[in-house]
Formats: sequence, C-alpha cells, structure tokens
Amino acid sequence: MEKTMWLIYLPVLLPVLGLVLMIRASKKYILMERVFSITSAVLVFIINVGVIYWVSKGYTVSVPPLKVNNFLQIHFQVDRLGALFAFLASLMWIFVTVYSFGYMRGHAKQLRYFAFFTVCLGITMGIAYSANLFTLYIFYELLTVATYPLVVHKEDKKALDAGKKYLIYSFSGAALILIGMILVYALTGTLDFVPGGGTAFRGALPMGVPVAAYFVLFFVGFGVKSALVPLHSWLPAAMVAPTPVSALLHAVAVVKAGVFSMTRAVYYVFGPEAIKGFNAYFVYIVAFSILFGSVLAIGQTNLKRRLAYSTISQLGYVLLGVLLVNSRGYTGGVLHIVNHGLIKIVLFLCAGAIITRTGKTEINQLKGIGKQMPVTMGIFALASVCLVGIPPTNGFVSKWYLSLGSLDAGQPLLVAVLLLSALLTAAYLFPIVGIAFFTKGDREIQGVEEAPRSMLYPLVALAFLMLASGAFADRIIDFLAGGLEEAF
Amino acid sequence: MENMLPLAIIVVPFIAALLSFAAGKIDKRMRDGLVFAASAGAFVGVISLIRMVLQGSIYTFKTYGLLFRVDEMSVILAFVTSTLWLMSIVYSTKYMEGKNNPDRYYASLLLTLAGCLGVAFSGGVMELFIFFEMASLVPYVLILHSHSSQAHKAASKYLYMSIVGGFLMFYGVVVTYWVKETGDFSVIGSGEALPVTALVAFLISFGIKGGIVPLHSWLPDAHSVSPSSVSCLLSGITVKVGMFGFIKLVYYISPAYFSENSVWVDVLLWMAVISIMLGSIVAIGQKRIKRMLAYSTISQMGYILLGIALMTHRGLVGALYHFFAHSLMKGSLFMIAGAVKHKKDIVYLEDFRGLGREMPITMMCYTVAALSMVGIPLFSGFTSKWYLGLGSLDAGKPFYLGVLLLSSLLNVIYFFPPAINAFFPKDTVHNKKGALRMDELHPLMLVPIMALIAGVIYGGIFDNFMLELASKATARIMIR
Repeated sequence: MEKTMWLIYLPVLLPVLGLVLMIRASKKYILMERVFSITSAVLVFIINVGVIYWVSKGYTVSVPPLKVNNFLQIHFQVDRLGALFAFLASLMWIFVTVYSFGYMRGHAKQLRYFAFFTVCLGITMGIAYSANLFTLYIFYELLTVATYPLVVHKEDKKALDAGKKYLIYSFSGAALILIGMILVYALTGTLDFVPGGGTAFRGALPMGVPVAAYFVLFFVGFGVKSALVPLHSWLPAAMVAPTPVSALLHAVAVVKAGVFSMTRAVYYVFGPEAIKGFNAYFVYIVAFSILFGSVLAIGQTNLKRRLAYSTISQLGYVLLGVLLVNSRGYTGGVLHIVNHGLIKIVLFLCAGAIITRTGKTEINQLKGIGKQMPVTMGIFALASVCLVGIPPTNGFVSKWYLSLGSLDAGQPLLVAVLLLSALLTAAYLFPIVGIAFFTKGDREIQGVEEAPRSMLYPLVALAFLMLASGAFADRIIDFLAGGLEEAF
Repeated sequence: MENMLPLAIIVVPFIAALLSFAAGKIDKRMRDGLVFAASAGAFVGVISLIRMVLQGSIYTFKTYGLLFRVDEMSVILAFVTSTLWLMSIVYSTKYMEGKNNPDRYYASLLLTLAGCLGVAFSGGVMELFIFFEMASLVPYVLILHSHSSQAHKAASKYLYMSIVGGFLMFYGVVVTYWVKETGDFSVIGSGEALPVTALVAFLISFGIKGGIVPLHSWLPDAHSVSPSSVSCLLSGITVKVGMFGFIKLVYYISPAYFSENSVWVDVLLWMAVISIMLGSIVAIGQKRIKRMLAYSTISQMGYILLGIALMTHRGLVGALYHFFAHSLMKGSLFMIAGAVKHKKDIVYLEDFRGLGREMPITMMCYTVAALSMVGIPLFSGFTSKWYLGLGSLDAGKPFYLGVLLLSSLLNVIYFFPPAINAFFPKDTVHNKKGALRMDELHPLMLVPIMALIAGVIYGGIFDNFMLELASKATARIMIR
C-alpha cells in the first residue's frame, strides 16, 4: 500500500533551510546556530516517528517523483529498511547535537561546525528515503562533500591530509557506483529500487558478462564508505575530526550509509536470487574484514583509533548478514546497523568526554580515570559488554541471528569467525576498562571531574537506549519481518 | 526571407568587424556599442533560428555561389558560439580596458565569430573550407595580442600548424570536387568513396583544429598565452569547429570508411582515448591554471571524438551535448582564470589559497564548473558523460566506459585541489595577516561568468532544448 506524504520532503530540506536561517540569525544573536540545529534535529525526528508509524502499519510512504530529465528522477519513498535507518539516525542526531554543545564549547568556527553538522542530517535522510539508485547516488556524493569541512575542522596539516584522503577514497568509490549505475541502466532501462531486484539479473547478461562483474562495482564502490578492508584506511585517518563527528558520522551516518546502500544494491537492485549464485566469495572477503579490523584494533594505542578499527570490524558483521541473502542473516545484519550504531556512539561519546576533561587520547594515559569519571567509564564498560555480545545485551541478539543465518547458508565456518571476533573484541575493549578502574592513577588524573552535564545527559540517555534495543529487540525484528517477504 | 536570417547572422559580425575598426578611431564607446550590438544580434538571430529548427524547418539555400545549410547540428554550434562570444565581449569591456590595440582586438574577435558561425551553416565542403580558414587564421592576431616573446612563439606555432591543416583540407576539398563534382553535404556521402589520401588529409586537418593528440602541440601554448577573454573562445568554440568537421567527415563526407568494425573507426577511437588520457595526465602536472585548462580541453575534445567514433545513437547525443556542456564549463573557467589574474595577479594554482574568502562568488563558480568537469550529477558535464557511457555500452565496447571513469578520477585530481584550497586556508598570498575582506570582480566580468555557470546548472538539471536538439540532430545524422 502506498501513502503519499509530502511531509517527507521536510526532513531532507529542513536542515538546509535551517542552515540559511542559522547563518543570517547567528550574525545578530549568539548561540543561534545551536537553537537551529537542535530544532531541526527534533523536528526531523518527530516526522520520522510519524513515518515509522505508517510504515509499521504496512504502508509505503512516498511522494511523486520529481523528474530531473528524461532519464533521471529524484524520488523519495520510505519502506521498512529506510524508515528504520532514518529513525535511528535522527534519534541519535538529537543526542549528539546536545553533546556537541558541551564538546564544542571554546572551539573555533562553531557556526560552520553546526551548519554542516545539520546539513548532514538532511543528506542522511535523503539517503534513507531514496527510491532509486540515482537519488541515492546524489545524496551519497553530497554526504562526502558536506562531511569534508567537519573532518578538516581543525585545519592543521594532519586534518587537511586526512580530509584529502577521505575525499579521494570516497569519490573513487562513488565513481565506481556511477559506472555501475550506467551499466544497470543500460541493461534494465530503469534505476528504481525493486524489492527482490531486477529480473534482468536472473538470466544471462549480454556478452556473457557474469552478474558478479556488475556486482563487484557496487561491492567495491559502497565498500569504501563501509570501510571494508582493504578500502578502510580513510576511516582511522578521519578520526582527527572532533569527537562528535567521529561518533555520529564515522560510526553511524557515513559508514552506515555505506552498508545501507549495499543492502539496497543487494536486495533492491540485483535481488537475492541473483546474488545467491556467487555470494560465497564476497562473504569471505567480509569475514576477512571482520577479523582484520579486530586484530588491528588490538594494536592501536590511541583510544579513538582503536574504536575506528573496531568499527571496521563491526561493519563487517552487517555486510556479512546482508550478503548471506537469507532471512535470518538479513535480520541479523540490519539489526546490527541499529545495535552497533547505538553501542559505538556511546563508546565514542565516552572517549569525547575523556578528551574534554583530560585532553588524553592514548589508552595508557587513562590509568585510574574510572574513579574520577565513574558514570562515563561505567557506561563505557557497559557498552564494551554489549559490543562483545554477552547475553542479554543487544549485541548478542544480532550475533545470534547472524550465526543462525550463517548456518542456514551452510557456512559453519563463519560462526567460528564470529566467535573469534567476539573474543578479539573483548581483547581490545576490556583492557581499557581494566586500566580505567583497576590501576592507580597519577596525580594529573586525580584532579579530573565527571563530564559536564550537557555531555553526560545525552550519554546516559543513549546508554539507556542501547540497553532498550537489547530488551526490545523482538519489536525491531517484528518490524523488519514485515518487509522480509517482499525483499526475498 | 527564411534565407536572410542565417546569412545575416554571418554577415552582420563580418561587417561590424570592419566598421568597428573605423569606429574605434573615432570614439571608444561607439566601438564598444557596435561590437556588443553585433554579437547580441547574432545571438538573438541564432535563438530565433533554434525556434524555427525545433519546429522542423530544415533547409539549404544558395546565395552568391555559396551553399548554406540550416539543421539541428548547425544551430547547436551556432548557439554555443554566439552565446560564448556575447559573454566574452561583455567580459572584455572591463578585462581589456587599458590594454593595447583594442580596435584590432575587437575587429578580429568579430571576424572569428563570423568564421565560426559560417562553419556552422556551411552546406558543402567548399564553404566549410572557406569559413574554416577564416576561423583558423584570424585568431593568430588574437593569440599574439600581448606581443610578448612567448605570445609570438605560440602564435607562430599556431599559424604554421593551421596553415598545414588548411593546405591538407584544401587537398581534400579539391579531391572531393574531382571525384564527386560537387561539395554538397547531402549528396557527397553516397556513391563512390573518396581516395584514402583525401580521408587522411581531412582527418589531420580536423585533428589539428580540434587539438587531438598527436596533433595538439599548438594548443596548450596558444590557449595559455592569449588574453583570457580569447582563450575562453579558443578553448570553448574554435576547437569544437574541428570536432564539427569530424562529424561532417564521419557521417557526411566519407561515411563509406566508417562502417562498423572498420579500421578507421578504431583509429578515431584510439585517437580519442589517447587524447582523453594524455590530456588529463599532463594537466595534473601543470602549475599554471591556464595551461591546466588547456590540457583539460585536449582531454575533453577526446570525449567528443569518442562519442562521434562510437557510431551509436546515444554516443553521438553525448558528443553533441558536450559541445554545449564543455563550452559553458571551459568558457567560464577561462574567464575565472582571467579574472583572478586581472584582480589579484595570480596565475599559479597553488596561489589560489584563501581566495574563496575574498572572491567567494567567483570561486563558487569555479567549484561548480569543476564539479561539472568531473561529471558529478546535476551538472551538464554529467549528462554528456551519461550518454557517452550508454553509447559505449550500446556499441558493445565497455572498455570506453572504463576510460571515462578513469578520466573522471583524473579530473578530480586536478580540478578539486584549487577549489578546496580556495575556501579553507585563512590567509592569501597577498594578505598574510588574515582578516580577509570581500573583494569581488566588477559586475561586467562577474555576470558573464555567472550566466555561463547558470547554464551549466540548468543544463544538468532540466530537460533542455540542447538535449532535444542533440537527439534530433543525431536522429537526422544517423538516418543517412
């Protein structure tokens, strides 16, 4: 069932409109950029609540397509997958925006920071709502452009180098998508997302080209933003950005846009039927990415870099579930978009709180910090437990479904990979907790206070959400189940 | 009456060129007014001609022994020519202020305009040759305008290569008349094929004009030493006159050589690929913006040649649309290069740092043009690449799609850094202290740039008359 709802233009456009108002108003009044960024985040969230309500009733929320020219059109349509992603992103945006108020205090160029931070929200909504490959591609490219000023926020040599790397990686990936798009259009004559994929990919393709050759373009193209090993090196470099940016963009919006787009490509462009023929090869690449990310994470001494490598490994989980192309794998993968998003954002926000209070970024400098910042580090410990996937936390639920999906696909080896990776996750996260709580801190650490309230409250709220997503995992699974039959 | 309009479009700039030379001796403002009126008149004439052509009025006519032809393809070239010329003349009023020999400058500018418009409306090889020579030789005066030793060197090189090209074309035309006893495009394609030597002569002559590798060596020098208001026309239009010749050659003059799987098709394709790649790779190494833009032109002409040589419907649409897209992008980029030199005396790309804070509108225009050059959607450059990509798939040659991709990536490497560099640093080469204030161009220079950029965006977002013209022209060319 289709439901036309013009309101869904608003989440995409509102942040941009807010930007214009923000720039005008902030010249006259102080802190206007904060008012506008939080207002647009809240409004976008409210609209997404409405959207997800209609979607859970079985409707597909859409607006009529906006014809760009005779072969391309901008079209928004929200199904269950898109609604979930949009809901998740807009919810977290509120908390991280509030957190940014505290974190950015005293930093330079706040107006630019909040302006682009808010614009990214609209672009992420565009990705979630897009109903065809062209719309997705446009917003995918825009996301790169709009996050660039956030990555290079410090404008020192290191930040500019990281920014350059980020642009080159992202644009190269997007160029592959563009080529893939032309190929798909030449073959099928349409770029729309069709549940179950285009039928053209089920038979033989012209000139005996295997479907896998087409898929490689999308796999590598979207793999860049999904930080798939060996295309990952922009992500740790981009950690020079302010921590809220690392948290929101490089744990949620940007990288999740990568895996979300990959899901669209697998289920709505090629279709599970076509992917089943060759998915085993890609699954092994992803399994390698999972283990490689974890192993490298252990070797990192910088807290944010360690979390970045952890992201690389965890995104592999999502891709694994998506590429298994069976219903339980899909559920596990998409569930992990939600769960990993919440867990990783909490971990990053803890790291940001530590940086704000102590300026420490290295793990071995955190001795005894647990006594000084008990709430922050307590939440950090909790999030670590969730990420390792100890029952009854949310991380456990997604891993459970991923394991079942692997077995359904006849790949018991992948279960071993998941277990090994859980072990490695424990090996790179628990020592931090140990150092924080069970070693005696030096004098420098002993004077440290708990994080300021504007940072602590969002952190606590997100920690509750993280626990809730474990407790109410069945609700999310039910929600996704409604869309399963059409995708398969 | 119908015949009068295309004729007037060619003749008015021609007469105005002679008059303006005289007018300049009397009063500067009179000359400026006359030059502007002539180019604006040509522009308005072309617009009304486009309306007629879109309604299906296609015709040939003969006056004073010359054969003229009005169809979709000719109005495409005439439109981009008259638009860019009008913009450049508006831009010149400020840009050329206080520089040497203004009368000579404006007169040769209008003569070149008449030549390019003549090429667009020529109905046979003889007419093509006459106007081709006019469009090739007059720019010599414009290239050496600054009278520096580099300018003289570049202009001589240009002149020698143009003369060689002209002789070869003359040979081709003579042989065509000898074999066919006529030069009319609508009949020479059928019947007995031309001798191979004539084909090669045409090929080299158009290749020189179009700056196709390995015949390009005049282009980077000529396009970078001439005044920017001229470079934008040379890079935006006159090289396309060569590409226009290629279309005439492949589809009208000697179609017999360009059947599927013919070796000549492969020759063209390889020339295209080498131009695309070499142009981009050399552009990466350039330190001066105008040289970078010149090498980029070589690469972009490769795109058009690729579209022509793919011999598919959508490929040719891409090539014809790129006439439009490239002339707007490259025209505005050269104007921006000139503006930056004019205002800040900056010629090196690395000196663009911080410029975005002083000249935000100009640098935003640069950014849009750069995005379009790379082929990001919603800009005109993307539309042509899209059609070229589909055309190469239609031809069953996905290799060329890979070439397009690679060249887009190379474009990113040389077009983006100046744009990024312009907006992020806090100081500029001239102002190390910071506290930069807005210091924009004079409106007479800014408005032409903005108008061209508006065209780039309009052409990328909307279904436009250029796309319609390109597909109608393709349908007409392909039916033969």
